[in-house]
Amino acid sequence: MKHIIRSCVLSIIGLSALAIFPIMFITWLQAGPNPDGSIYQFFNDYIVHKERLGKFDIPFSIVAKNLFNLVTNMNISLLVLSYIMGLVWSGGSHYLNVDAPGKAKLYFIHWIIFTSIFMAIVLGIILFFTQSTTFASARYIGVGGTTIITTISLIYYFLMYYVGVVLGTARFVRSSVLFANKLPVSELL
Amino acid sequence: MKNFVVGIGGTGAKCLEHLLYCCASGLGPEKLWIGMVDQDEANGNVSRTKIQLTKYMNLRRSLRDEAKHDLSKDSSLFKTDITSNPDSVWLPLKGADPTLEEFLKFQLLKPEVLGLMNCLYDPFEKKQNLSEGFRARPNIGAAAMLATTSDEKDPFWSQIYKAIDSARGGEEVRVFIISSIFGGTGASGFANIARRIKTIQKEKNVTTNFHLGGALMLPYFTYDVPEENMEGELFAKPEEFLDQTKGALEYYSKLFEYDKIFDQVYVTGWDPLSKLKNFNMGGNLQNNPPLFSELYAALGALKFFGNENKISDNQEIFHIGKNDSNEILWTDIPKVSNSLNSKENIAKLIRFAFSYNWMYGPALIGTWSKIKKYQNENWFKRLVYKNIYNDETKSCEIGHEYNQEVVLAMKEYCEDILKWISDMQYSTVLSTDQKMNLILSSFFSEYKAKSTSNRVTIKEKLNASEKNQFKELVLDGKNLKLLNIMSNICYKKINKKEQKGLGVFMDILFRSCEQ
Amino acid sequence: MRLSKKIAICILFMSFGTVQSEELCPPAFPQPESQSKSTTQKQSGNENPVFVYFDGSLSMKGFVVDRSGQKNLYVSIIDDLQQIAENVGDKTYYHKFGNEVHAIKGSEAAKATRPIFYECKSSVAECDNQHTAIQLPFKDAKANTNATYIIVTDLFLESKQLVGSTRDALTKPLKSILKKGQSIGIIGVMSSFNGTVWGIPTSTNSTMPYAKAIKRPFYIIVIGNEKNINTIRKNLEEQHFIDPGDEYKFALITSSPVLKNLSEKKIITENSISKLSNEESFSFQYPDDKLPVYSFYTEKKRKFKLKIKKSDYIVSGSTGLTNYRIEENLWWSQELKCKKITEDSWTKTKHETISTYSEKENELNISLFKKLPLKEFFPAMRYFYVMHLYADEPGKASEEIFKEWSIAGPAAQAYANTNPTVFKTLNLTKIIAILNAVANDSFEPTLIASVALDFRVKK
Repeated sequence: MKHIIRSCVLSIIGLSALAIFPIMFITWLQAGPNPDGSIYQFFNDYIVHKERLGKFDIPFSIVAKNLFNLVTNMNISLLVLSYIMGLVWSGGSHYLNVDAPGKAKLYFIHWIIFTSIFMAIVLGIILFFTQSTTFASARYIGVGGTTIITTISLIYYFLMYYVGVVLGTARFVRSSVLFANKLPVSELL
Repeated sequence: MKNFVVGIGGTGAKCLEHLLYCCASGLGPEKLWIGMVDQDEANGNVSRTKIQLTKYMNLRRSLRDEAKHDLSKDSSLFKTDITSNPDSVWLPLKGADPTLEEFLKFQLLKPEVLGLMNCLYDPFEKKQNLSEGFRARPNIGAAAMLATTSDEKDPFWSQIYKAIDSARGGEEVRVFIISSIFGGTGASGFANIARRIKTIQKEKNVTTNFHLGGALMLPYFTYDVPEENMEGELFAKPEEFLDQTKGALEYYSKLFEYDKIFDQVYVTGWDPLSKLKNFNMGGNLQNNPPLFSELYAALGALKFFGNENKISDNQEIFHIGKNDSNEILWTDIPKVSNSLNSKENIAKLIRFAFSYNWMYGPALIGTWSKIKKYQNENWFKRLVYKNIYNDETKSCEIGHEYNQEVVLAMKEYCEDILKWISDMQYSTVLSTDQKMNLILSSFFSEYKAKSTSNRVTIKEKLNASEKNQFKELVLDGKNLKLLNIMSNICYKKINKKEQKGLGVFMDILFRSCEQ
Repeated sequence: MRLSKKIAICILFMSFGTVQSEELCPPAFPQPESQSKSTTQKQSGNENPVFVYFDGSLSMKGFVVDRSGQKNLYVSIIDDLQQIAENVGDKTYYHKFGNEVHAIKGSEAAKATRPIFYECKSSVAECDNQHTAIQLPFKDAKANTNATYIIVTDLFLESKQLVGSTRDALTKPLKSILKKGQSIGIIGVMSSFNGTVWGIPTSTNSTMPYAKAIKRPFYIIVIGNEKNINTIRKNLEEQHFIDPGDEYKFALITSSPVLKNLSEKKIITENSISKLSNEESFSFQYPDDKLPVYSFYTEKKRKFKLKIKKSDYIVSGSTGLTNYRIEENLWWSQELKCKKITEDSWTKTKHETISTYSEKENELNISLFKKLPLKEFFPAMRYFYVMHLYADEPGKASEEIFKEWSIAGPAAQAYANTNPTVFKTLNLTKIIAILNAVANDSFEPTLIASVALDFRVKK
């Protein structure tokens, strides 16, 4: 049990190292960004469907708040998901039946499947927020904006999850996680 | 403290075999000298014990080498530093085909003495070839031993003399003798050797720091004697064991009453008697299987040597038996001391033997090109690679010959452990109503009761489902799986300061085999 | 306890009711150009004379000579003409024209059904039956907008009469007539003919006669208001065109083929846009009697079509319309409730085209938001859409109607050489085209209907 807890703690450390940026981003969005700031302008220029808003003569300032709320909620969901999946793998790796030398790398398939499920859920969450009718402000996001949000979110949250599982995977299963066996042998890790 | 254990006869040798495995599991004292007494030099049991003794000492030497491989002082594996004479067996009567007549020089005896001798010994006994033991004739054995035990220059007896000298020097010395109360060498040697030791002690005026203990095996096995070709032969007849025992017990009763020879005596037997399938009068064919009650004698010896064992001035006689049911359980195995749990250590040793023999040993055997496929695995990296790495050659030398010798030696020893425990389990209850389910052995071993040399055959490889049965290997309810072993070897702390080389892996694996 | 429950339920339903009838708070939008269509003339006694002009050319004589086995509609209609005229006016004045217009008495007019009316025993120079100066009655018609002018002629005009100054002489008064809101009805009637058709142009720049025709069309051109024209047409249809073999054609040439503003007349109803009434929070009202407003809350997948019957807005028999124009505007407001909506709440969008139209034979379909689908709209906003449908260009239906009876000048000789029994009218489609062209020049875009949508789009 203590090994599982240790794994979870390491996983949390890894996840948290990369969670800092989304948390800062969320805080900034909720605080109300400076309209002259670069990220505000970035949303205005690349995320929203500028042409459509322009045709309707809707200024970005009207849609900004709701859009930021949408992005905030999406990032919170992705953060929670990354933590959950990272911890599930880290804890669950202790129950993988690696009972002999050379068996760990067979579980690479399991990790790939698990990671694929994670990425599919991430994609599902992103699409839910940006494409579904649940959030009215999703309609402000253009195709380019959806692509940008999807790409950045997929990459970043995969990295976050990856760091979490690299650190948190049970030592004897590390060969199942890509490059995790390159971690230096240390009593701390 | 200096400890000495002497096994007399075939039974003594068999008890010593159990004692060696117990010492491998960490139940023994810091240091121990082992010797055997048997006129039957080629006795199969004695030979087997000698081999095991050699293996133990060699492996321990390899794995407690501060320069190369070191288990560290804190490791229980091969904890006891066992020493012995180059020839660990003392023959009371040396030479090819000795007889009592020749040895006692009957032709030179005075007539009155000769007459007495003729009364005491019949012609068969006088002329019996004693190279294969005293053939259940303690009267012959006693005479032979008494005649030869006074030689201080004898390598065996010199150790006893040195031990007594050490006691006189202030160091505590404990000597323990194990033998059977029936049969030949054991019956004749137990009391005589003990009295001889006591005599030497008195001669040297050693009154303190020297303690003598003994384990006396009452009848615990029987066998069927074939009728053909036995006429005129002297051999131990099982139907006579009980009578012999009765007689011997009466003798010892009187002896202990009037003369405090032993500080502690451990008595044990077995009922119903274990049935041995093979009968051999002596020699290398007399290779009886290990039996459970012998373990009691070994544990008695280890208890005697324990620091917690406070030896009183009064003679103490201990007896032990199993539970009343027909089933032999782990709870029937007594603790050596409060800090040494025999059951746990032996169970640990068995699990260690299994995991090493089939799981980890094969991974470490071969050249580096074969082994390197494990180099990215955590257990290998932290326990083997780092510790066998040569900074000069910038390579891991696990595939080198001198390391492979240790790896293979350990694999062989693990196989011996598995054979020992399987054989003991099969043979103790064979053809009786008793059951012994200390371990589950059917999935990895095959038992042939009538075979002398290879009663138990261990499978070379196990398939996945057989490996899965590891959790039921030791039936102590612990449910320890190979997965737990793997997890443990990846997480157990390494004693970085003292452990070295393969000692790291061996100790961690051993420690990982307990829950 | 029971009573209080009932009261509570009533209040609940009432509150739902008030929610349902969505309050209107539209943005300020420009009204469409007021369309004053002078369609109805005051029909009072002395101000509605009827002037009848008979074409006295020799070619007309054949109409009054019976041909056995053929129905003579010319005689029967001329006989009835006085009665017909009196139906639309109070006093009838008769004329005969050729190169000049001569007023004739009624008794003289009664002779129009006899050959003697068209004969002239004097010299050619003195007889005014050689030529049809059709522009003369038109010139007269320009003078009095209250009167109704009925011209009976075979419309057999030479090509040279349809070009240059002669043409101008024809088109100028027509322009004036049409501009004043008058219309021109052309009723073509196929009647028996027993005589000679004069003035058929030949390839040698001369003319030739043709005497083998047993049937020919003649034309009753009525100039006046649409109502009178239709009354005359109706009379003729009911009284004279009753046999299956009776052939006649009618075309109305007007500068305003649009009958009425459907919105002002409240022809646009809640069912004009199908299934819209099923939408959530639907309501329909005419807040200012001119503009129907649909209010609703809809799905972004919905598509709407406004269906208008052509018969509702196109003058029957007219050339119709070939082109329509939609003027539309869209506003959005972030505030949804009228309480919070102020003048500044509405923002006009920059969309250029939002809806389109498509024509079927009998109806006009306006696909609302065809170019700007509702899925492009943003939820959580209130929208107000105003659409004005204009008639942008009149049609050319009448040319098609009379094409069958027309023969072009250059082809006339060849046609005559085929010895047809039914002789077509020379340059008829050209004449109609000239009339249409004049009508088109006088045409002004007319508002057909206006519609407003006050709506929200679901997520």
